Amino acid sequence: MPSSDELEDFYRRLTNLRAQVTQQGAAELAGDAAVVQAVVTLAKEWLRLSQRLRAAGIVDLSTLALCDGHMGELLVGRGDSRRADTHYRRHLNAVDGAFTGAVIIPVVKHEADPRQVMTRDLRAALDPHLTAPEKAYAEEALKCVAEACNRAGIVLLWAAAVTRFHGAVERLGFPVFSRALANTATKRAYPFTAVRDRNPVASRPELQRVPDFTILVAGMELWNYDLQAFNELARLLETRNNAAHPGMASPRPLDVQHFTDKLIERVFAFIPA
Amino acid sequence: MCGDRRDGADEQIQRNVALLVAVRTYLATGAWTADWSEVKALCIDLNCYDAANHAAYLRKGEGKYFKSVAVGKAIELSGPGRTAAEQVLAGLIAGQ
Repeated sequence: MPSSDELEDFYRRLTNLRAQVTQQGAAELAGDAAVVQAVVTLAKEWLRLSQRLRAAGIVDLSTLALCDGHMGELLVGRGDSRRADTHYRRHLNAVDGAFTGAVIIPVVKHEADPRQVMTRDLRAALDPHLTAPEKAYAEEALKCVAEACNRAGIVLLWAAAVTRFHGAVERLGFPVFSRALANTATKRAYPFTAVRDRNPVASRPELQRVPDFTILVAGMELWNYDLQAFNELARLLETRNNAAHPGMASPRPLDVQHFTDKLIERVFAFIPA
Repeated sequence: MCGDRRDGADEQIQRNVALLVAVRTYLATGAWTADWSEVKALCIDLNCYDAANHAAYLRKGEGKYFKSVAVGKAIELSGPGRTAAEQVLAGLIAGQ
């Protein structure tokens, strides 16, 4: 969707052009190819903006149809060149009259919606820490959060975190990971007991079959985080599992924010990319 | 907050809106930042939005109240900006 800043920039050019058209008479305008070209460019640009606005569903469709109609008239030509100034002015005025109240303000209101603000905050917090494959999951997660689909957002944010774990394991090497699994399995207390009977891992598909919880337990040896950090990670996994299964868990925006902050602290800013 | 429209008042009003939005963000997240769109929307609600000069007015506070001002980006408050934001909030509470 176009931003309100983009729409305001368009509107500024529209009002400047309208003022220029108003200043020039029909005869002068007919010979001014630059203004005619500017009108055509503006009309084309509007039609592109209109398509994007239509897809977003923020601005009333009748307003978009009205503006499309007037801008389309500017594109198809002015007919009698002696009346060019009137023709341009009439259509530019009509768009000008509706633009601020019916186009820019709904977009500003949408951008300032708390969910959108939170989504931007989360993106700003996540972006510096993520690799490209992780970002793909995070972006999907943020789309969900922006639409108040918090459970889906949590599941996809966890997918970004698992991408980090898997990538980090591959960089260390599968033998190192398998050794960590074997060492962990020799310990007798919880949570190490959860790693028993795991076969060595030698490839990415085999790693993908290892439960996330097992990777978190082995991670204490691989990345040297302590039991408290592990417990926080295990709670994040539990939150993810609750979000992914039917039940009474109903994460609020603040829950998503907390989940993201903890993922950044314990995974994205800690586990090497 | 938006009743005073003497010369230079618009600039101060829009700056105060940004400071108040930063207070809200601070209370919610602990970060002294004002979301660009949130500032714009609140200015529209309070009938003090000047599209042509909005960014320019806020830029005048750059280096003093705000660390940096860029269109579309969150505005981060400086130390004096935080103090000013607290004063604006105190003024609102006192009914000024």
